[in-house]
Amino acid sequence: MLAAALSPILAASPQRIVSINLCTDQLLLMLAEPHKIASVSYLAMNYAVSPAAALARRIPQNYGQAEEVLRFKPDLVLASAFTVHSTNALLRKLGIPVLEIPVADEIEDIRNNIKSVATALGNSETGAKVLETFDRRFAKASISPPRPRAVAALYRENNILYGSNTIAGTFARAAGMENLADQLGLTGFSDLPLEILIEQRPDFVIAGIRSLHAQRGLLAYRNLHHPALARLLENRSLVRIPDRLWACGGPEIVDAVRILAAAHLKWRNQKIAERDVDKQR
Amino acid sequence: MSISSAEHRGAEHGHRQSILFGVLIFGVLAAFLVSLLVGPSKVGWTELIALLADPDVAPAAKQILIEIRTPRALLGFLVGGSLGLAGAALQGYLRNPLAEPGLIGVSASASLGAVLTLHTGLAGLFALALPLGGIAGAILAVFVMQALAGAAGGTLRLILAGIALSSFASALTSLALNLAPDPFAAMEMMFWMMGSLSDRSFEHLELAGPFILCGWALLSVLGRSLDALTLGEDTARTLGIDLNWVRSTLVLGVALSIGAATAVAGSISFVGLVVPHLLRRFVGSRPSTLLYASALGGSCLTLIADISVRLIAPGPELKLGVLTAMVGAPFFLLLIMQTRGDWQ
Repeated sequence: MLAAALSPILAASPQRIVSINLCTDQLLLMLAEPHKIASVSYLAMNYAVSPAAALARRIPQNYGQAEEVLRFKPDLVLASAFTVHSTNALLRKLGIPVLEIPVADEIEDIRNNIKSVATALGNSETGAKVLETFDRRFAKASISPPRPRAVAALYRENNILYGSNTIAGTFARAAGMENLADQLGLTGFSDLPLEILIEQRPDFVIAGIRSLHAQRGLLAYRNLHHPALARLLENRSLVRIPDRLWACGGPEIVDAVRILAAAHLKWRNQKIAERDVDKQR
Repeated sequence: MSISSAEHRGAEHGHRQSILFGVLIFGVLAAFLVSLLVGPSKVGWTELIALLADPDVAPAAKQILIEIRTPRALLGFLVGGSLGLAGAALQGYLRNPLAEPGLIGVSASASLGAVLTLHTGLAGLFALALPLGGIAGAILAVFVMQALAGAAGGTLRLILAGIALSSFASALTSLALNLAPDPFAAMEMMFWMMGSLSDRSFEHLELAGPFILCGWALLSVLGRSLDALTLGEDTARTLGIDLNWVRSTLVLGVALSIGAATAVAGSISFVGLVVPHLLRRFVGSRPSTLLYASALGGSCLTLIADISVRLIAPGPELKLGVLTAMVGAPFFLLLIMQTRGDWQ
């Protein structure tokens, strides 16, 4: 933040910034001076889904509705391309600049988003520092695919399987894992029946941590509580990645890469040990 | 009419009925078998035969057949049977061809009861809270319908009260899901309103099965009383039918079977309406025979619908309730056209 404070303040640099989406909240909290943040979304201070929750605690919340946003008299609104389009259009119509940030699926998207928000805030130097740290930490956490290489199913609530071109696909790839979705020819978010998962028998099932109002009986989680999945996992690995690391593509994904890379290498060593035992027989 | 020809007609009638029950039982068994063989994975009859021959067959096929498809097929049988049975019992008791658990709001209220136990955390405390919540919702709905549009209420009143109760219960379900900080609220709403049997396990069967069977037991003893009721309440009373007993048995039977079924499968409409209508002509309009025939018919129809949702859409699975509504709603309209005369 010191570097940001010292950087020349451009006349055009916005002073009252509102973010109405969890993912733009992260970028704003990461890149702007705290006194310039007028409001972030109500999800920003939820530790379960927001990586920068600690920074969001004293900042007024909004529920992403145009009227609420107007109350803060913002000179810049950050929204996701995923945000309700009518809200963005309405705000623009009322003369408020809205910066729409695309969803980050790949490392390059994460970097571009940091750059474009930093530029809009007039904090390019802070942006460059954040990027540099991210690149270094990401390179350190990533591993190249080991041999043997594990197949992972990124499988979450409501039978959603994450493809390679999603943020989860990106962190699994950085951990050297092969994505089950690729083997099945699926991209993006697909609906994968539990049956197919059982049939495919991936080495890893990577799920979230039920943290946002987690109730055992909730239907969304029925696939993850099914006895057939429990049976599949008896001799396979389940890795739980905190939900906040799946929520938005940002520098926080380094943590997910670390968890998965460690699990992957452990699995590889076990496989090699098993193979050696088989050879000796 | 001479005695011999009456006997002859009776024998012919009995013969037709045994054919009907034979066909229905065969249909249920066939649909159950197909239900085990159809699914998104390639597991089919070769794997099933291999499993029957050697229980230590490939673990994937075994898990898919035993832990995923078997509970689903069994639940389809129980849920469908409940819908058919409850539909026939309600139509017989209210002497109204449009009475049906889905249309008169029993299913929607049972959904509400189940959702409330889930989102207050009660279902997390003890597992039986879920079916009990569904049953409580269903009991309440049957009582409300009884009060608003009992036998004297007529068709129009029954349908209007049913619409009001259904909409109200659905709105409260949505409200409960909206208020709970649930990221999947929209999907959960769709499930509770449209019903589905996908990815159910033996746990669901153990939760709902006993209640459903108790409900069946209660409803199946109502046959004689419902037959007597076709002659009107006064006549039924002179025949020694205790109407209070009939009512409480019916309410409890419908609530147990539909409440428990809805708590695990969501609200599935129109099965309870269509099945008794399709079968009525084959049983000579006798409510007692219609009860058993409708239970089998409901099971068969629900299993077929559940097989269809797996076959029709290759991507995200169609909701079971969508399919039953798509088949049931036009049928319902047809019925309304036919009964238009009675409303004045």
